[in-house]
Amino acid sequence: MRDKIFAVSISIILLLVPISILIRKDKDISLTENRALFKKSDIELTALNEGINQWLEDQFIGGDTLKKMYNRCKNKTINVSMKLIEKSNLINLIPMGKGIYRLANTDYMVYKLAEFDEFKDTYGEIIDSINHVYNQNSSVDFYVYNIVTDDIVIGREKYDELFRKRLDKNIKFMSSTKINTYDDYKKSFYKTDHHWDKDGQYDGYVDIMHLLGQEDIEEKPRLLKFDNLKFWGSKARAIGDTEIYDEFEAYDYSYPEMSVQINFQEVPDYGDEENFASGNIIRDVEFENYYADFYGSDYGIVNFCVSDNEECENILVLSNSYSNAINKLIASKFYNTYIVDMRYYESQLNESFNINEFIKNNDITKVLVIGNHMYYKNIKFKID
Amino acid sequence: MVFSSFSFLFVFLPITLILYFIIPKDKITLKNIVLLVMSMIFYTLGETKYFGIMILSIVVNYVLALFMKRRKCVLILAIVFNIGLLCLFKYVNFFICTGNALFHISLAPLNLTLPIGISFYTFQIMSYIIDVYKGGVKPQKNIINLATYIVLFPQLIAGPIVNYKTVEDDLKSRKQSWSDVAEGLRKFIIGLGKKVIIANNVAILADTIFNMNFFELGSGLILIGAIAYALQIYFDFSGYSDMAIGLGKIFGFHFLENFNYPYTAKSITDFWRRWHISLSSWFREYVYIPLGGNRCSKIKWLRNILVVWMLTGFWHGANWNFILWGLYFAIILVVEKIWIHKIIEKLPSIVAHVYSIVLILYGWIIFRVEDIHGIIYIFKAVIMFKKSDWVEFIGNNGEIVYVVPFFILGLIGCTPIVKKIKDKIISKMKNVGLYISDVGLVIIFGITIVFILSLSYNPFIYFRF
Repeated sequence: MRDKIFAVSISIILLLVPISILIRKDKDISLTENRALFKKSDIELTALNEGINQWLEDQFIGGDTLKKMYNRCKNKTINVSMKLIEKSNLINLIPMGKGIYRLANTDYMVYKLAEFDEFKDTYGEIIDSINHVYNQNSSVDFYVYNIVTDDIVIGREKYDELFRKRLDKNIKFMSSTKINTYDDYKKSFYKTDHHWDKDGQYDGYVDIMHLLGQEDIEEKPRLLKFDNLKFWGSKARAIGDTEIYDEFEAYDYSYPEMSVQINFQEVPDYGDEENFASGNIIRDVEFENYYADFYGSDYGIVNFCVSDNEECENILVLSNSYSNAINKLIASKFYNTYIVDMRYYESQLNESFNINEFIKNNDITKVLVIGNHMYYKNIKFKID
Repeated sequence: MVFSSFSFLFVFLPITLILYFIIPKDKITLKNIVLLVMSMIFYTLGETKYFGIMILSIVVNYVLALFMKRRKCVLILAIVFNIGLLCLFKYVNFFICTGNALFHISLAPLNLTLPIGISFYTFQIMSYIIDVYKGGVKPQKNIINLATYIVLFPQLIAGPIVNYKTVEDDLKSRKQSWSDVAEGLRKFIIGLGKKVIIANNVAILADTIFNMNFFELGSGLILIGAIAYALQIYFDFSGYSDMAIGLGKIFGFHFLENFNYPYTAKSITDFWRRWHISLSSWFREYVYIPLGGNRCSKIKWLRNILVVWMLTGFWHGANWNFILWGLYFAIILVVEKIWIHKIIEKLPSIVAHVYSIVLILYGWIIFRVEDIHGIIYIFKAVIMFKKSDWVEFIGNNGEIVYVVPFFILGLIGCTPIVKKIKDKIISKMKNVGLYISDVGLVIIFGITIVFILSLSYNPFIYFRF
């Protein structure tokens, strides 16, 4: 009797699984894995076994839940084991997977320190490209700002020295003035996101205003709180960790009236600060990217025009997503502010970015480069 | 197709079970045809290119066996044909490369891939041919029965190596019972669990360590790596054997066990009585004994041992490290048999276990690290007690801590502890204990499904042999 019960039970499982997958309509995408799923119609006769296997794995009923459960257990096991190692004070960076570490005895997720020797050549190429453009536009003032992030916080001096030595002497350079240790880092960056937080952004803005020689610097305004709005930043998203999160907060800056164009198309605003301030926020969505929602996303080019600043200069800012949070603050001090992200310009506008022509055609008098390690190590940001 | 894939578990297996069991019990030939067709489909799904080689092999050996009648020339022809095929696909490039290096010539290697399972099915066919020659079995006149024996999908690609005489009766008539089906399914689930839950996970640890630059490895890391690899290869291979034996049982075939807790051995001689039993038995029966075994002069006996172990090593792969691995065990076995076997017998159990495990682990290092320079460096590092940089290792491989529970599970699972506990529960609780054990197996089956779903790491090691 026992044998019958066992054999029948296993046989039922073996039969029910494929039948249930077969009769259910195939799902198109997996929200957990953020990818298109393999469907019956994708199975090819030339790769029948692989196709059936992938179809069954992708369309397995409850597969998403089971995978989530598995990942949670896996992360729990890693966390428990790592806590034991952490208590031993043997290492200060606790690996969390996918190249992300946690600062020992804190919730701050960081990238591993970058080896200077590995990246100095790419930094050199980016710096040379800035020098090259400067030499072709010597009547324009050039500024370079280096945001010190987790990957270079220890050993930043080597990078600063490289900039000072290699940048043309007439290009003004500054590197984050307030970030020299992991403790400083914690005051200026999110726990779970690679971007700077509200205070890091403000300090960066102050640094940049000093670099540009601007004396009229905005005071820190009141704090906008969003009733414990949980923000799982890029690092938490990468490893699928929901246990550590930031509380999203921002400063309530007031900007002068400005028109905004994204990729040369007029838009009502950049970012969604007003909606957030009025409490109109998408909530309870795991891994929602509030940094992009609030401050604005990455585009090939964003143009801010402050009509009241007609007598002011035009500035071209070359940057990555770090500047998104302070784009409007910078724009407040200029007539036209053009923010260009070299990663997206060509793909979104179907033409390459010709900086010399751009400077000439738009009466640019200042060019500001804002980047961090991710910027200077990425050859896509070469501007010549 | 591997047993631990969804396409096998939820498509191939259910279809085969339905087709097989709807045929009335007494229609054995029809059942064999179903198994033959499904086995060929199983093989073709993994190896389309060399399907013809398999068919050729079946036909040639079928005909040669019919004409055997104790004719030595037919036997030699059959052996040359079978070993020739094996050499062509598995060893010819090794010989070309060795020849190039030795004689400074530059022959181009052949563009051939190894047909899946060729090492296993060639040895099965040879057992049949040799047994027919010796008169131990009658030539199989029904080509369907012979083909079913050769391509039977449970043991086709990774063994165990089933001698023809083991299944000769089963091919003609076999009983179909709920007890066999249930026992087969239980064995299959245990094997699946061994492979998916333990082997796949400890493999991550072994691979991480042995894929590191050898110069970064200290003694501690090498030890952990060697243990992880020992567990990986044991749970991978014995898991596969369990699945094969289980599937065989479901269809009424009774294959012999292939492993018997090898890491509990008290000597290397004992280890080889417990590890890959079907291969050791094959070499003993078809090489060692025909060469004279130990009933000859000491010199010839030593030669016989060396030949058998060199071939054992070479069977595992066309590389010098496998030959070295075979010779390593040949030397230890000779030393044990001539000098120290009485000393080992008198040793306290724990000392004998440690002695065996240390030598087995060294053996696995030779087996795993295919580069001879790497093997020498690692042996040196172990002997010199080179310090391991654990901080750097954990720092660079943070996720590795996840496999620790599976490593511990593996250490426990390779001993008879679990079986003893299970037997105790069953003897105390009688029927209830048996039902609890079945529920446990269903849970293990569920866990393996979750693991297969979540782990992309899923290769079977023994596919390459």
